[in-house]
Amino acid sequence: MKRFLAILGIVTLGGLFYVYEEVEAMRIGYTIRKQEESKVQMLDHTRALKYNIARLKAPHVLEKRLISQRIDLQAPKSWQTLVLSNGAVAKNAAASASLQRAPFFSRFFVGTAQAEAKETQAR
Amino acid sequence: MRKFPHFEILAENRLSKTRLFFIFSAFLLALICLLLRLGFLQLYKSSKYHSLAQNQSRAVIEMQPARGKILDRGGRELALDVRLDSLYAVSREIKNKAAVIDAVTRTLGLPRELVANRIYRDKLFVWIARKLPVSKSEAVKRLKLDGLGYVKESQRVYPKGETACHLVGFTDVDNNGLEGIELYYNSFLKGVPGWRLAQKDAKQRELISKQMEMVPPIDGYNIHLTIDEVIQALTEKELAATCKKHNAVGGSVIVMDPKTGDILAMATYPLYDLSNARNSKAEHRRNRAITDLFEPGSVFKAFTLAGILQDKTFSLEEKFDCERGSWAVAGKVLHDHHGSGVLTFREVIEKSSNIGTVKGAMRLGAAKLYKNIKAFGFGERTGIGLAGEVRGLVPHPKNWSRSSIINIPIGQGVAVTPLQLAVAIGAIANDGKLMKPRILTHIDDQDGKIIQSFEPQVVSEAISKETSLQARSVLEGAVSRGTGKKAAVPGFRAAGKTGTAQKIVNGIYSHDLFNASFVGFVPYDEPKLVIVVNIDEPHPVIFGGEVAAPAFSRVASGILAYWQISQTEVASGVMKSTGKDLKKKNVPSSAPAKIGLAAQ
Repeated sequence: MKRFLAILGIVTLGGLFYVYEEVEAMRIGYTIRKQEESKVQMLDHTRALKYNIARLKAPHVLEKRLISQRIDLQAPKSWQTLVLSNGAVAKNAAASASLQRAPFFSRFFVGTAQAEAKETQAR
Repeated sequence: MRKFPHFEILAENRLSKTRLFFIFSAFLLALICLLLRLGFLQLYKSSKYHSLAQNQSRAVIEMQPARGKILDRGGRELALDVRLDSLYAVSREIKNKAAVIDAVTRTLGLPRELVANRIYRDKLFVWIARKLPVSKSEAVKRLKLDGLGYVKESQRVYPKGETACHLVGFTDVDNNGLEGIELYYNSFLKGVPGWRLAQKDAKQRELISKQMEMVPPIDGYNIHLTIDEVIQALTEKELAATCKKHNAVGGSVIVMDPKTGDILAMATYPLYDLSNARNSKAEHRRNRAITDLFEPGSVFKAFTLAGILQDKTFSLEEKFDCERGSWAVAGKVLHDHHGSGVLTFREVIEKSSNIGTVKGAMRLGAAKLYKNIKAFGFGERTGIGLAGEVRGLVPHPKNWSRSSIINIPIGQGVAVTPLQLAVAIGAIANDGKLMKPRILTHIDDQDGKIIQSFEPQVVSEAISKETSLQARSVLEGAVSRGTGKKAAVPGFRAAGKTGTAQKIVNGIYSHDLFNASFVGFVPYDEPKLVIVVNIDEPHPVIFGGEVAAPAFSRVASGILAYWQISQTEVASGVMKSTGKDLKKKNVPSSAPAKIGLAAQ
């Protein structure tokens, strides 16, 4: 009789453990599902943001915006440009060479890149 | 009378036992019936009920793959996917249909009849609206209406709007490619859907812990194009400005790297907005650069010239009498726009003399001329890998009429596409090597693993390097001294040829409708860019030198500035001779013998 009761107890405990495990698995499953939904939503949101970034970077959009804001951008002259090579101004670059001797009259009206840099530091 | 209680008890016990027997028998019978029913259900009806139970608790969920992106050569997105809500209704579950119809109609701005028609259908599932904008789907969700549900669906979006619209193409509502790259590479972009067999609970929520089987989806591959978004936008802008300025019905510009055959830009006008492609006209969606055939006119003289130089029929200094602009030959009278007397063959091409070119071609002969034209790839598809490319038309000499030898050398009686012209002029710019035009660099998966790579491919050697250098020098003269002066690129030496061709209307040459074109490359000594401009029906100005050449100049200037290339950097140590020196020596500035093309 005792033996029977012991076996019955073990079987009951085993059954309860199995049920607990199943319930726990379900519960975790629901949590995972919720998190997956949230992940999918975030990925969708990321995609939408990437699309917006790409759209805003489109050349025709930028151009329209520049025109609407009346910003007239022009390519810099070679003597207004510093060419960097490994973090330093390239010695042999045509730009850096011309930087040393800007067009004579331009110095009076435009200023050199060095002068602009000093002005920025002063601020 | 004396009674015997013992007997009474005995009789009652007997009665109870009988009752018990009957009750027990009834229960036993019921149990046997149940067991028999159970056995019947388990043995004979098991499959039916098993499948019924499975249908209620299991579901096969389709997993849609993400469609691959289309990117430019710098990895900038030209087409990508976003996921949007699609709204559906389960009509049978909607109690107050009129209220739902009103609410949906008001929120989505759809016609009431359309919504009502769908909701009154006695179906389990019916689409109300697919791929709703986020704001609208959120608004409907806030209404919390019974019987409505949402499914996430991929929506193809084109962040660059009109840029490269003819090249990229677009998809239908089910994300199947309909035009351009979207159509041609649909099988790569689309991906393979997956599925999973899942258990569901009473509320129809998926039980992840009970997932049974899964085949994951394979996302579509990314397509990397050779075009550069900035160059494409610049080219489209210049083409549109040219077409508007000259009242043209359309046009196309191709920018190609002659060394690799990479298409850097392929612009067609009119443009259409990819985000609203369904509302555009079909004729606006045509990629004119590969689908439109036209008689090239004088630009074709560049290839006649190459044929003559390749065959060494005569030298560039050979003189031809250009008959003062009018020459009767083969029953026709051939005219030049500007009448000239005796010209060297170099001057004939520079001044675009029809008479001089035909006289030169006659000395080359029909068979050799045809062989040369075919060597440049005319009359065959280039194999660029875009839907709708046409072969062109180059008649075989056995089918030539008496006047063919007069027409064909000056670009009449043959039909070409702008892309064929770009490839052919690219061969002259690339030391005679004819490159296969390349529109894709590679295809990779979502992890960046390369699936297929497209390397630059030499198709053939159309002409020798020596011929190429000679032809280039003549074409440089056509820009610096000839009909293509307006193609000059400030700070660079460009080469090219203008063309003004009459269009054929109802089988005869029109005197009102023309094609203005320019083919050329820059810098001429070490070409980085091949540009073909073709403007359809400009008016009132019709000439290639006036209409197409300035567009070439602006596109080339813009690209070279974008690349930050200057002539001095490119040609350092290559071009020692200045124009002034050459003038002193009284030789053409572009004479090949005088220029040390050391870099080549």
